[in-house]
Amino acid sequence: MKRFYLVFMLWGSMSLYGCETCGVTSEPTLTVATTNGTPMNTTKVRAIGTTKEIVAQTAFSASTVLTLPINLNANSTTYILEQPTRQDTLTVFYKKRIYNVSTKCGYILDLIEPDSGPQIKSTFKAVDIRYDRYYNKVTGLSGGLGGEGIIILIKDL
Amino acid sequence: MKKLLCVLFIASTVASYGQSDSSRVKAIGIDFFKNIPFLFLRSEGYRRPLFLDGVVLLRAQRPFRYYHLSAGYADVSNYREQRIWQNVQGGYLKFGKEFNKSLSLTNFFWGYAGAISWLQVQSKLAIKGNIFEDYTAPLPDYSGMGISAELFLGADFRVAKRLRARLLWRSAAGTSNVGAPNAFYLPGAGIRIWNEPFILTGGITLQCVYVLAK
Repeated sequence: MKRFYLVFMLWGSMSLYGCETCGVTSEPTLTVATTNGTPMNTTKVRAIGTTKEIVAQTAFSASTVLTLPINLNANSTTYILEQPTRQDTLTVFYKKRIYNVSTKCGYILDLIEPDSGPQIKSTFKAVDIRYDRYYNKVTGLSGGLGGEGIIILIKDL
Repeated sequence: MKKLLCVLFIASTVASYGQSDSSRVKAIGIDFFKNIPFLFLRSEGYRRPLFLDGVVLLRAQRPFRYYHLSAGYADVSNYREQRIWQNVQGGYLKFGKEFNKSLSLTNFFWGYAGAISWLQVQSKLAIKGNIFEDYTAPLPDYSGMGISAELFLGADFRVAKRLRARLLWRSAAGTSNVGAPNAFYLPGAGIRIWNEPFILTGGITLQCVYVLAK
Protein backbone atom coordinates (compact mmCIF):
# COMPACT_ATOMS: atom_id res chain seq x y z
CA MET A 1 0.00 0.00 0.00
CA LYS A 2 2.88 2.31 0.85
CA ARG A 3 4.28 1.69 -2.58
CA PHE A 4 0.93 2.64 -4.15
CA TYR A 5 0.87 5.95 -2.24
CA LEU A 6 4.45 6.64 -3.28
CA VAL A 7 3.62 6.06 -6.96
CA PHE A 8 0.45 8.14 -6.62
CA MET A 9 2.34 11.03 -4.99
CA LEU A 10 5.04 10.88 -7.66
CA TRP A 11 2.41 10.89 -10.41
CA GLY A 12 0.60 13.80 -8.75
CA SER A 13 3.82 15.79 -8.46
CA MET A 14 4.66 15.16 -12.10
CA SER A 15 1.14 16.21 -13.16
CA LEU A 16 1.45 19.50 -11.32
CA TYR A 17 4.97 20.00 -12.61
CA GLY A 18 3.59 19.73 -16.16
CA CYS A 19 1.08 22.59 -15.74
CA GLU A 20 3.08 25.30 -17.45
CA THR A 21 2.00 27.67 -20.23
CA CYS A 22 5.04 28.61 -22.25
CA GLY A 23 4.41 32.34 -22.72
CA VAL A 24 3.13 33.63 -26.04
CA THR A 25 2.30 30.66 -28.25
CA SER A 26 0.06 32.39 -30.80
CA GLU A 27 -0.78 35.97 -31.68
CA PRO A 28 -1.27 37.44 -28.20
CA THR A 29 -4.28 39.43 -27.12
CA LEU A 30 -4.99 41.98 -24.44
CA THR A 31 -8.19 42.57 -22.54
CA VAL A 32 -10.00 45.90 -22.44
CA ALA A 33 -12.70 46.17 -19.79
CA THR A 34 -14.79 48.84 -18.14
CA THR A 35 -14.59 48.90 -14.37
CA ASN A 36 -18.26 49.57 -13.78
CA GLY A 37 -19.50 46.93 -16.20
CA THR A 38 -21.23 49.32 -18.59
CA PRO A 39 -21.02 48.42 -22.28
CA MET A 40 -18.62 50.55 -24.30
CA ASN A 41 -21.06 50.83 -27.24
CA THR A 42 -18.16 50.19 -29.57
CA THR A 43 -19.33 49.55 -33.14
CA LYS A 44 -15.96 48.81 -34.70
CA VAL A 45 -12.35 48.40 -33.62
CA ARG A 46 -9.43 49.10 -35.90
CA ALA A 47 -5.74 48.78 -35.19
CA ILE A 48 -2.82 50.39 -36.97
CA GLY A 49 -0.63 48.02 -38.97
CA THR A 50 -3.05 45.14 -39.35
CA THR A 51 -3.21 42.82 -42.33
CA LYS A 52 -6.84 41.92 -41.60
CA GLU A 53 -9.85 43.58 -40.05
CA ILE A 54 -10.49 42.85 -36.37
CA VAL A 55 -13.68 40.86 -36.12
CA ALA A 56 -15.54 40.70 -32.83
CA GLN A 57 -16.35 37.29 -31.37
CA THR A 58 -19.50 38.84 -29.91
CA ALA A 59 -20.97 42.18 -30.97
CA PHE A 60 -18.63 44.97 -29.85
CA SER A 61 -21.59 47.16 -28.89
CA ALA A 62 -22.85 44.72 -26.27
CA SER A 63 -19.45 43.90 -24.82
CA THR A 64 -18.09 45.15 -21.57
CA VAL A 65 -14.87 43.27 -22.28
CA LEU A 66 -12.94 43.44 -25.54
CA THR A 67 -10.19 41.04 -26.53
CA LEU A 68 -7.81 42.70 -28.99
CA PRO A 69 -4.73 41.38 -30.82
CA ILE A 70 -1.24 42.72 -30.07
CA ASN A 71 1.29 43.59 -32.75
CA LEU A 72 4.48 41.64 -31.95
CA ASN A 73 6.43 43.44 -34.66
CA ALA A 74 6.28 46.71 -32.70
CA ASN A 75 6.62 47.84 -29.11
CA SER A 76 3.17 49.42 -29.10
CA THR A 77 -0.22 48.85 -30.64
CA THR A 78 -2.72 51.61 -31.37
CA TYR A 79 -6.42 50.81 -31.46
CA ILE A 80 -9.20 53.04 -32.75
CA LEU A 81 -12.49 52.31 -31.04
CA GLU A 82 -15.46 53.64 -32.97
CA GLN A 83 -18.69 54.44 -31.17
CA PRO A 84 -21.90 55.94 -32.60
CA THR A 85 -21.10 59.47 -31.47
CA ARG A 86 -17.36 59.44 -30.86
CA GLN A 87 -14.07 57.81 -31.69
CA ASP A 88 -11.41 56.98 -29.13
CA THR A 89 -7.81 55.90 -29.52
CA LEU A 90 -5.87 53.67 -27.21
CA THR A 91 -2.12 53.07 -27.52
CA VAL A 92 -0.58 50.34 -25.42
CA PHE A 93 3.17 50.12 -24.88
CA TYR A 94 5.00 46.93 -23.95
CA LYS A 95 8.39 45.31 -24.11
CA LYS A 96 9.13 41.91 -25.60
CA ARG A 97 11.17 39.71 -23.32
CA ILE A 98 12.72 36.48 -24.60
CA TYR A 99 14.31 34.31 -21.97
CA ASN A 100 14.97 30.74 -20.96
CA VAL A 101 12.32 30.11 -18.36
CA SER A 102 12.46 26.41 -17.61
CA THR A 103 13.59 23.04 -18.81
CA LYS A 104 10.13 22.29 -20.07
CA CYS A 105 9.50 25.48 -22.04
CA GLY A 106 13.04 26.55 -22.90
CA TYR A 107 13.08 30.01 -24.47
CA ILE A 108 9.78 31.84 -24.35
CA LEU A 109 8.39 35.19 -25.41
CA ASP A 110 6.59 37.28 -22.84
CA LEU A 111 5.28 40.84 -22.86
CA ILE A 112 6.17 43.08 -19.95
CA GLU A 113 5.93 46.75 -19.03
CA PRO A 114 8.39 49.05 -20.85
CA ASP A 115 11.53 50.10 -19.00
CA SER A 116 10.77 53.77 -19.47
CA GLY A 117 8.23 56.03 -21.15
CA PRO A 118 4.47 55.79 -21.10
CA GLN A 119 2.61 52.52 -20.60
CA ILE A 120 -0.64 53.68 -22.14
CA LYS A 121 -2.02 56.70 -24.02
CA SER A 122 -5.72 57.18 -24.54
CA THR A 123 -8.47 59.63 -25.30
CA PHE A 124 -10.62 58.00 -22.60
CA LYS A 125 -10.97 60.09 -19.45
CA ALA A 126 -9.33 57.56 -17.11
CA VAL A 127 -7.59 54.30 -17.95
CA ASP A 128 -5.35 51.94 -16.06
CA ILE A 129 -3.11 49.11 -17.28
CA ARG A 130 -1.93 45.94 -15.61
CA TYR A 131 0.84 43.76 -17.02
CA ASP A 132 0.29 40.15 -16.11
CA ARG A 133 2.62 37.56 -17.61
CA TYR A 134 1.64 35.39 -20.58
CA TYR A 135 3.85 32.70 -19.06
CA ASN A 136 2.02 30.77 -16.41
CA LYS A 137 3.12 28.05 -14.06
CA VAL A 138 0.97 26.24 -11.57
CA THR A 139 2.94 26.04 -8.35
CA GLY A 140 0.94 23.48 -6.42
CA LEU A 141 -2.71 23.10 -5.57
CA SER A 142 -3.08 26.78 -4.64
CA GLY A 143 -2.61 27.85 -8.27
CA GLY A 144 0.07 29.93 -9.87
CA LEU A 145 1.10 33.30 -11.15
CA GLY A 146 0.66 34.87 -14.55
CA GLY A 147 -1.25 33.77 -17.58
CA GLU A 148 -3.73 36.65 -17.97
CA GLY A 149 -1.60 38.93 -20.12
CA ILE A 150 -2.10 42.67 -20.47
CA ILE A 151 -5.34 44.04 -19.02
CA ILE A 152 -6.62 47.59 -19.62
CA LEU A 153 -9.27 48.99 -17.33
CA ILE A 154 -11.34 51.92 -18.56
CA LYS A 155 -12.39 53.69 -15.39
CA ASP A 156 -14.21 56.57 -17.06
CA LEU A 157 -15.37 56.72 -20.65
CA MET B 1 29.38 18.44 -41.36
CA LYS B 2 32.28 17.96 -38.94
CA LYS B 3 30.06 15.71 -36.86
CA LEU B 4 29.15 13.69 -39.95
CA LEU B 5 32.83 13.26 -40.80
CA CYS B 6 33.49 12.24 -37.20
CA VAL B 7 30.76 9.60 -37.32
CA LEU B 8 32.03 8.30 -40.68
CA PHE B 9 35.55 8.15 -39.26
CA ILE B 10 34.37 6.12 -36.28
CA ALA B 11 32.32 3.86 -38.56
CA SER B 12 35.30 3.29 -40.87
CA THR B 13 37.50 2.53 -37.85
CA VAL B 14 35.02 -0.05 -36.66
CA ALA B 15 34.75 -1.48 -40.15
CA SER B 16 38.54 -1.73 -40.48
CA TYR B 17 38.68 -3.39 -37.07
CA GLY B 18 36.12 -5.84 -38.32
CA GLN B 19 38.17 -6.60 -41.42
CA SER B 20 41.29 -7.22 -39.38
CA ASP B 21 39.43 -9.72 -37.24
CA SER B 22 36.79 -11.10 -39.54
CA SER B 23 36.08 -14.00 -37.23
CA ARG B 24 34.55 -11.61 -34.73
CA VAL B 25 32.44 -9.51 -37.07
CA LYS B 26 29.21 -11.20 -37.90
CA ALA B 27 27.62 -8.48 -39.96
CA ILE B 28 27.75 -4.84 -40.97
CA GLY B 29 24.78 -2.85 -42.08
CA ILE B 30 22.89 0.37 -42.46
CA ASP B 31 19.63 1.68 -41.08
CA PHE B 32 17.86 3.63 -43.79
CA PHE B 33 14.30 3.39 -42.55
CA LYS B 34 14.39 6.38 -40.15
CA ASN B 35 14.29 8.84 -43.05
CA ILE B 36 11.05 7.50 -44.45
CA PRO B 37 8.49 8.32 -41.70
CA PHE B 38 9.86 11.85 -41.36
CA LEU B 39 9.23 12.50 -45.05
CA PHE B 40 5.52 11.97 -44.37
CA LEU B 41 5.46 14.12 -41.23
CA ARG B 42 5.56 17.54 -42.90
CA SER B 43 2.12 18.32 -41.48
CA GLU B 44 3.63 17.72 -38.02
CA GLY B 45 6.26 20.36 -38.74
CA TYR B 46 9.20 18.10 -39.61
CA ARG B 47 11.54 19.33 -42.35
CA ARG B 48 14.85 18.34 -43.97
CA PRO B 49 15.25 14.93 -42.34
CA LEU B 50 18.61 13.26 -42.88
CA PHE B 51 19.58 10.20 -40.90
CA LEU B 52 22.68 8.12 -41.54
CA ASP B 53 23.12 5.06 -39.35
CA GLY B 54 25.57 2.19 -39.44
CA VAL B 55 25.52 -0.98 -37.40
CA VAL B 56 28.14 -3.66 -36.70
CA LEU B 57 27.44 -6.98 -35.02
CA LEU B 58 30.43 -8.53 -33.29
CA ARG B 59 30.44 -12.13 -32.20
CA ALA B 60 30.54 -12.62 -28.43
CA GLN B 61 32.23 -15.54 -26.71
CA ARG B 62 29.08 -17.57 -26.23
CA PRO B 63 27.06 -18.81 -29.21
CA PHE B 64 24.12 -16.79 -30.54
CA ARG B 65 25.25 -13.73 -28.63
CA TYR B 66 26.59 -10.60 -30.26
CA TYR B 67 27.86 -7.20 -29.36
CA HIS B 68 25.88 -4.54 -31.08
CA LEU B 69 27.76 -1.41 -32.10
CA SER B 70 26.14 1.41 -34.01
CA ALA B 71 26.83 5.01 -34.89
CA GLY B 72 24.69 7.57 -36.56
CA TYR B 73 24.15 11.12 -37.67
CA ALA B 74 20.89 13.08 -37.57
CA ASP B 75 19.88 16.42 -39.06
CA VAL B 76 16.21 17.31 -38.75
CA SER B 77 14.07 20.40 -38.25
CA ASN B 78 10.76 20.77 -36.51
CA TYR B 79 8.22 23.51 -35.82
CA ARG B 80 6.94 22.82 -32.34
CA GLU B 81 4.32 24.18 -30.00
CA GLN B 82 3.33 26.73 -32.67
CA ARG B 83 6.20 28.95 -31.54
CA ILE B 84 9.68 27.49 -32.10
CA TRP B 85 11.58 26.34 -35.15
CA GLN B 86 14.33 23.98 -34.13
CA ASN B 87 17.07 22.30 -36.12
CA VAL B 88 18.89 19.45 -34.42
CA GLN B 89 22.17 18.17 -35.74
CA GLY B 90 24.05 15.50 -33.91
CA GLY B 91 25.37 12.02 -33.68
CA TYR B 92 25.51 9.08 -31.38
CA LEU B 93 27.49 6.00 -30.49
CA LYS B 94 25.62 2.99 -29.22
CA PHE B 95 26.91 -0.20 -27.70
CA GLY B 96 24.87 -3.15 -26.55
CA LYS B 97 24.43 -6.87 -26.43
CA GLU B 98 22.18 -8.95 -28.59
CA PHE B 99 20.79 -12.42 -28.00
CA ASN B 100 19.75 -14.45 -31.01
CA LYS B 101 17.46 -17.41 -30.91
CA SER B 102 18.99 -19.30 -33.79
CA LEU B 103 20.49 -18.88 -37.22
CA SER B 104 17.44 -20.05 -39.11
CA LEU B 105 15.82 -18.30 -42.09
CA THR B 106 13.75 -16.13 -39.75
CA ASN B 107 15.68 -15.30 -36.66
CA PHE B 108 14.33 -13.60 -33.57
CA PHE B 109 16.56 -11.57 -31.34
CA TRP B 110 16.44 -9.22 -28.39
CA GLY B 111 18.96 -7.10 -26.57
CA TYR B 112 19.84 -3.97 -24.74
CA ALA B 113 22.08 -1.02 -25.50
CA GLY B 114 23.31 2.25 -24.13
CA ALA B 115 24.01 5.32 -26.20
CA ILE B 116 25.83 8.57 -25.82
CA SER B 117 24.63 11.42 -28.02
CA TRP B 118 25.83 14.88 -28.83
CA LEU B 119 23.76 17.51 -30.49
CA GLN B 120 23.74 21.09 -31.66
CA VAL B 121 20.48 23.01 -31.68
CA GLN B 122 19.64 26.07 -33.74
CA SER B 123 16.29 27.66 -33.10
CA LYS B 124 14.15 30.73 -33.59
CA LEU B 125 10.85 31.97 -32.31
CA ALA B 126 8.20 31.96 -35.03
CA ILE B 127 4.72 33.00 -34.03
CA LYS B 128 2.11 33.09 -36.75
CA GLY B 129 0.07 36.25 -36.97
CA ASN B 130 -3.63 36.34 -37.53
CA ILE B 131 -4.47 40.05 -37.56
CA PHE B 132 -0.87 41.29 -37.63
CA GLU B 133 2.11 39.94 -39.55
CA ASP B 134 4.05 36.87 -38.43
CA TYR B 135 6.73 37.45 -35.83
CA THR B 136 10.16 35.84 -35.80
CA ALA B 137 13.13 36.36 -33.50
CA PRO B 138 16.47 34.51 -33.35
CA LEU B 139 17.30 32.42 -30.29
CA PRO B 140 20.77 31.50 -29.05
CA ASP B 141 22.31 28.33 -30.47
CA TYR B 142 23.24 25.73 -27.94
CA SER B 143 24.81 22.31 -27.83
CA GLY B 144 24.83 19.50 -25.39
CA MET B 145 24.99 15.82 -24.72
CA GLY B 146 22.58 13.11 -23.78
CA ILE B 147 22.56 9.51 -22.72
CA SER B 148 19.97 6.83 -23.27
CA ALA B 149 19.37 3.17 -22.63
CA GLU B 150 17.16 0.94 -24.66
CA LEU B 151 15.65 -2.48 -24.93
CA PHE B 152 14.99 -3.90 -28.34
CA LEU B 153 13.59 -6.97 -29.95
CA GLY B 154 13.19 -7.93 -33.52
CA ALA B 155 13.34 -10.43 -36.29
CA ASP B 156 15.67 -10.73 -39.19
CA PHE B 157 14.82 -12.17 -42.54
CA ARG B 158 17.09 -13.54 -45.19
CA VAL B 159 16.82 -11.41 -48.32
CA ALA B 160 19.72 -12.86 -50.31
CA LYS B 161 22.56 -15.23 -49.59
CA ARG B 162 24.37 -12.90 -47.18
CA LEU B 163 21.91 -10.08 -47.00
CA ARG B 164 19.43 -9.87 -44.14
CA ALA B 165 16.72 -7.37 -43.27
CA ARG B 166 16.33 -6.77 -39.56
CA LEU B 167 13.00 -5.42 -38.34
CA LEU B 168 13.63 -3.96 -34.94
CA TRP B 169 11.31 -2.56 -32.28
CA ARG B 170 13.00 -0.49 -29.64
CA SER B 171 11.99 1.30 -26.49
CA ALA B 172 14.37 3.82 -24.96
CA ALA B 173 14.68 6.05 -21.94
CA GLY B 174 17.16 8.88 -21.79
CA THR B 175 18.04 12.37 -20.78
CA SER B 176 19.54 15.29 -22.67
CA ASN B 177 19.93 17.50 -19.65
CA VAL B 178 23.52 18.47 -20.38
CA GLY B 179 23.43 21.66 -22.39
CA ALA B 180 20.50 20.93 -24.69
CA PRO B 181 17.51 19.97 -22.60
CA ASN B 182 14.93 21.33 -25.01
CA ALA B 183 15.87 19.62 -28.24
CA PHE B 184 12.91 17.77 -29.74
CA TYR B 185 15.13 14.95 -30.96
CA LEU B 186 17.91 13.07 -29.24
CA PRO B 187 20.13 11.25 -31.75
CA GLY B 188 20.31 7.58 -30.97
CA ALA B 189 17.16 7.69 -28.82
CA GLY B 190 14.45 9.39 -30.86
CA ILE B 191 11.75 12.04 -30.69
CA ARG B 192 10.92 13.44 -27.29
CA ILE B 193 7.27 12.80 -26.65
CA TRP B 194 7.18 15.32 -23.83
CA ASN B 195 9.18 18.36 -22.86
CA GLU B 196 10.85 17.05 -19.75
CA PRO B 197 14.54 16.37 -19.08
CA PHE B 198 13.81 12.66 -18.80
CA ILE B 199 12.44 11.20 -22.01
CA LEU B 200 10.78 7.99 -23.05
CA THR B 201 10.86 7.21 -26.71
CA GLY B 202 11.00 4.34 -29.12
CA GLY B 203 9.95 3.12 -32.51
CA ILE B 204 10.32 0.62 -35.25
CA THR B 205 13.14 0.59 -37.72
CA LEU B 206 14.53 -1.57 -40.48
CA GLN B 207 18.19 -2.39 -40.81
CA CYS B 208 19.83 -3.97 -43.79
CA VAL B 209 22.92 -6.01 -42.89
CA TYR B 210 25.50 -7.91 -44.86
CA VAL B 211 26.64 -11.10 -43.12
CA LEU B 212 30.43 -11.41 -43.21
CA ALA B 213 30.83 -14.60 -41.22
CA LYS B 214 28.39 -17.33 -40.26
